[in-house]
Amino acid sequence: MTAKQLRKYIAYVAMSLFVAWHTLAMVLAPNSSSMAQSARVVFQPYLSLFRMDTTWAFFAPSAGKHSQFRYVITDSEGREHTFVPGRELNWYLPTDIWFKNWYYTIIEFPESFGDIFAAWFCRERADLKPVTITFLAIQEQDFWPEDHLRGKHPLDPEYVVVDTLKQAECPRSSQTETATDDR
Amino acid sequence: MLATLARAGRESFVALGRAWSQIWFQPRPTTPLEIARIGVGSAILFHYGMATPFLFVFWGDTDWMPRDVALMYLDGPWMQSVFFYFSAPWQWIAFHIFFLLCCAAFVVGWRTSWVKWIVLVGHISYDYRNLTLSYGAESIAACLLFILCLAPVGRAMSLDRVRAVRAAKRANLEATLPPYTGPWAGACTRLMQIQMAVLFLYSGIEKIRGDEWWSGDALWWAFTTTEFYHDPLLALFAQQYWLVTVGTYASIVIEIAFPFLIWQRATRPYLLAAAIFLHVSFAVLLGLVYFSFIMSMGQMSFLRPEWLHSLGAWWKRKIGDMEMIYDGRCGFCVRSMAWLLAFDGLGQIKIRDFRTNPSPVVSDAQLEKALYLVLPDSRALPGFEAYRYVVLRVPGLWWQIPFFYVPVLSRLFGRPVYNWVATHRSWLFSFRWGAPRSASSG
Repeated sequence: MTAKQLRKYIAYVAMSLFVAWHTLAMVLAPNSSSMAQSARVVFQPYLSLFRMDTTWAFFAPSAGKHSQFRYVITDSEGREHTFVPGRELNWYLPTDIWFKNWYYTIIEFPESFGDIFAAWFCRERADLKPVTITFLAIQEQDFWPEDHLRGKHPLDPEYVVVDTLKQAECPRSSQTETATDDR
Repeated sequence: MLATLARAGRESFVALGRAWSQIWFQPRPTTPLEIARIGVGSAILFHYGMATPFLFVFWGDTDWMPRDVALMYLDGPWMQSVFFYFSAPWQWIAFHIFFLLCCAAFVVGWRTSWVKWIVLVGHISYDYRNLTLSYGAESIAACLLFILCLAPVGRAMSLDRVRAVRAAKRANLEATLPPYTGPWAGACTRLMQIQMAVLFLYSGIEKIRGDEWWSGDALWWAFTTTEFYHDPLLALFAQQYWLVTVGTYASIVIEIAFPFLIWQRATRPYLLAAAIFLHVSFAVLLGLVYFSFIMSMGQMSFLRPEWLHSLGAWWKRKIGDMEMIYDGRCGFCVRSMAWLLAFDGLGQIKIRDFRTNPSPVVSDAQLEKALYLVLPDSRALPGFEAYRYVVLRVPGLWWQIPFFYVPVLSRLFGRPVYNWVATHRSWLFSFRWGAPRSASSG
């Protein structure tokens, strides 16, 4: 075997090993069986490093029943103003999914992210002179075709459960900003 | 006996090796991967370009996701992001600009061999810096990008290819560079195909675990959610509920059938069309544009090179021959022709140097003043009009359409600019190469 042939052979073996390895990694990544889980010990660094570690479970196993995020600002005169930030987004732009994912994060972890978002939304609504902010999750319930034919909407009060996630004081800065603006 | 066994074993081994090579290492062009490169790159460029106003909000240390909170979402040292190593705001801005430039270079195929790695590192870095923003599309993009990084992309439909062809044509305008094919391109195409097949299979399997998918109601539930609420469609579904059942089962059938039937020659076109239809539906009806586009680009790996070849041949036949007549004594003209021809990947333009091979259609006196394009019906278009005709008909030049087809303005400015360049071509050539200046030959 000449040196050139040997180099070619080594390259062939290396390429073969790599494609076999990568194929196994692709197959193992979404697999939750116990055998696959034990093999993951070897593959985990590779899967994590290249962001291949995922389940590919789109709209599965359940397709529906989400929650809508809302927040209520109470102003200095005690009036309540309700906002549905998801409605302000454009469906076809990436911002839509980023912000909605963020709203789901608050719904899921209100204690961890509540204060960060309280500061954010109070600052955004500083013109209302916000004093407190309340985060709500509007949980969808069953909504059947008959309901739609009766002119109902999935977010009508009889089809949702309202869950109060967290109430927080608006940071002083957002109130001061308004006061400064008023002067 | 032993000798027979050994021979049988050796023959089996050789047959196995041949089958392995046939599955993985058939020399293939990179064209399907290049389409995926352009598509995935464009999607990522648009995606992160749109994120520019929210750079610090999403990925900074001071806004929504402080660094210590972001780190809590990560599992192990292998989940890395360059953003964890930044400390000053200018570093975020500089990286973001550099990343977007690399995405643009990746799309056009400029210095592809290294910019592709920056795109991959950047994409993973954004993703890991704030995992709460992430959804399926980010993982798909990362998986496809990684395969594109391994693949020898940039060898077709790219500026790298244009530069290589141009270099060959600089020496001889008639020179051609054979299209790139290689066994590693075949292996990487196969990896992307397997990635897509695995993705469809698991997506289908996960769905049939859910009751809503078995009962045929899943589509209804998807469209009634606040995220994907679609009133006109729900009105239709509420009256014709069988559409929901058919749509739900069709989605599962496509996803389960795809990984099994996509490999056969006879069924591939149908499965590919069905998968693309499914994702176009997701884009239009659910607003999942980025996700659907990335998925469709992954499916491009299943395009057979012969389909693309037939498409190119059909286009070439449809447009017909085009002959460009140029001045072979003018260095500037030769250089310009080398550039133009380098973008003509389908080889639609034929060339003629009127100094050595006079044209029977256009006189030398006319050709002294401008380049001409001769069409099959013997029509001859001069200068600016020739370029204007060509850019619409040569796919590699489509990026120039906006310059040549702006109503009124293109002709208003294009013609004088062309005429000026044509009359000063010798001067331009000497200026470029530092040779003694001579009077314009126009």
